[in-house]
Amino acid sequence: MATSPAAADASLIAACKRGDREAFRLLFEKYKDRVYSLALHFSGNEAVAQDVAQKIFLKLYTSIGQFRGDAHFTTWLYRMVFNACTDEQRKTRRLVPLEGGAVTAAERKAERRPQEQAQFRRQISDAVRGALQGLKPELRQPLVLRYVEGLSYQEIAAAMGCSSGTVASRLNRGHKLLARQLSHLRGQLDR
Amino acid sequence: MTVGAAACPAPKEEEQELMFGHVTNRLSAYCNGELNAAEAQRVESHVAACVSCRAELEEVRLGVALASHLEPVAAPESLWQRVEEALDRGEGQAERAPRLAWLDWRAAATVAAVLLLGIWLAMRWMPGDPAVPAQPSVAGTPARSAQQSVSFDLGVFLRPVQAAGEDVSFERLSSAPPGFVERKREEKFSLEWLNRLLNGPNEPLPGYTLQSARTGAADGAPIIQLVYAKGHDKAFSVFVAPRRVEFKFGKEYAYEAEVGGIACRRVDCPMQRTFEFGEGGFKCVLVTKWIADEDAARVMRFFLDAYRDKAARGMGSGLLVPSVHAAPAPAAPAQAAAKDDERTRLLSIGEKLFVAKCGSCHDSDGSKALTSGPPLNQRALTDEVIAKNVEPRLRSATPEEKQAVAVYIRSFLKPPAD
Repeated sequence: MATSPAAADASLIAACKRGDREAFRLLFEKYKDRVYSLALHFSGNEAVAQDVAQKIFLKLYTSIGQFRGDAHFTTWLYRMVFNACTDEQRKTRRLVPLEGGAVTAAERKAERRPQEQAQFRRQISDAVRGALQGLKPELRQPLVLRYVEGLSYQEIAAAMGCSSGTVASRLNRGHKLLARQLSHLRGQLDR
Repeated sequence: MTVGAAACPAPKEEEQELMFGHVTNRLSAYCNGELNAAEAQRVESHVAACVSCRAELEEVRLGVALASHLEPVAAPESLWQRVEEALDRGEGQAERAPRLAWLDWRAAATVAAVLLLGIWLAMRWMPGDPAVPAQPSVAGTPARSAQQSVSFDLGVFLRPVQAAGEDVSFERLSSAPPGFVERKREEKFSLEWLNRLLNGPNEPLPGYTLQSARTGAADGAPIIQLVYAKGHDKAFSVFVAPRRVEFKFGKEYAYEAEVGGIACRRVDCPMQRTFEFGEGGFKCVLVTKWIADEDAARVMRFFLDAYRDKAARGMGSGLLVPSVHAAPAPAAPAQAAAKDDERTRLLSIGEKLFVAKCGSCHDSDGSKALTSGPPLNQRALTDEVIAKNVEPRLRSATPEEKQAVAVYIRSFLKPPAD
């Protein structure tokens, strides 16, 4: 009989709580991309994202016993990632706002031939990721959860511990700020 | 004039929507497909007629289009290696260790509190004893907070003690210091009662009976002295403090020792031997010139056990509470019913507190698996161990609440192994 994802998670987590290193490896494989991806988008820096991801999994290993199971595991994970990123940002101040060079590169790519669309798309992605760093954390979080994790407003609200209305309001502000910061890319997006 | 503009900030989006029917705050939800059909229709109708909202929608659409370029990124292959190396270096274990140490620390703190109550009580019932100064001399100790250690001269307690037999009224005991349990059921205390309590089946040392007890204080720290004697010329005293107190007894000669498996600091003087022992803030000193080391270990173990036992019952920090080792008397039917009611009440209080304070790690019935071993409800824990772990986690709770949690935990545990 097929096991549901939630049941599989519960089984893995229970094994991790017993100190099963192999189960922890499986849990790592399952969530490593999501953790790293969230950390990268939230921090905007690959080195920081790697540090944060490492810390998250170490913390996960040591404190998974504290996971109560009354919330989704991913919700718990999201909060750990955001808290770790915030701590890291406060500690290292390595996070920098989007540099003009990245946008310039994206613009330059955008002017190239259509066969370079994939690369162009990646450049836009880098530019948006950079622009995210100029936003306040409370605006950055819902954007990352929406577009990187693909969560609904309700799921974002659960992860952030706020109402759906607040999520809508913050996303509204976040979208507008992104649009203002990267308005010069408007023409490129239409291509 | 700019004053007016400053005093009347632009209305927020929600206010604008209320005042003018604008839909600016729903534009992202509209673009993200988070609105139902009716709400989406309303947005579209409004935007078609409202230049301001149409401009906002264009801006939000651009933001959505840009954000849609965000994509998940795969973690680098080296990440697991980094994590595994950190785990192998013990970084994972380093965070687990304090949790274990914390358990030990909490148990120790509980024990300390129990002993001090007894001392304080003893002092209170002998105010007229001319041999006992109303204020014990304190050697060079300015007033300190309750969190700091107190230094006093042990000699003030080594004076003739009151003979057994004098009753002590409850009134004299009713002003117990904070953290101490007041007795409310007993009308009177007596040294006979103390004898039954502490020299019953679980007497510290066979043949020795409690001859006297008194309390004193040093810098606000209550101290109790219990004097046990066998015949006319053999005796030992136990001084108990509810928190860390520095006993001065030729400490320049003190050395760390282990007597009968109990860690202590001892001083061997020609006239007497002292054993300072305890856990955490709880402090006890055994003074004797008569008993052998193995008997000293029995006495120390008795007081440690009494403290832990009492703490496990959630009865606070006082040592001299009758339920410590008293055998339960057969209860009359009415008393049994009252006892059941009391237990039900405690269970109810205990369950609520346990769920709130401990439920995250243990679930409401202790069934949650733990990294440190089997679930709580699969463990055969003694009352002592329960109390040891309850006390530090519920530091701000009342003694009754702590007792209630201990009773609740007891209700779902396996019975302790003999």
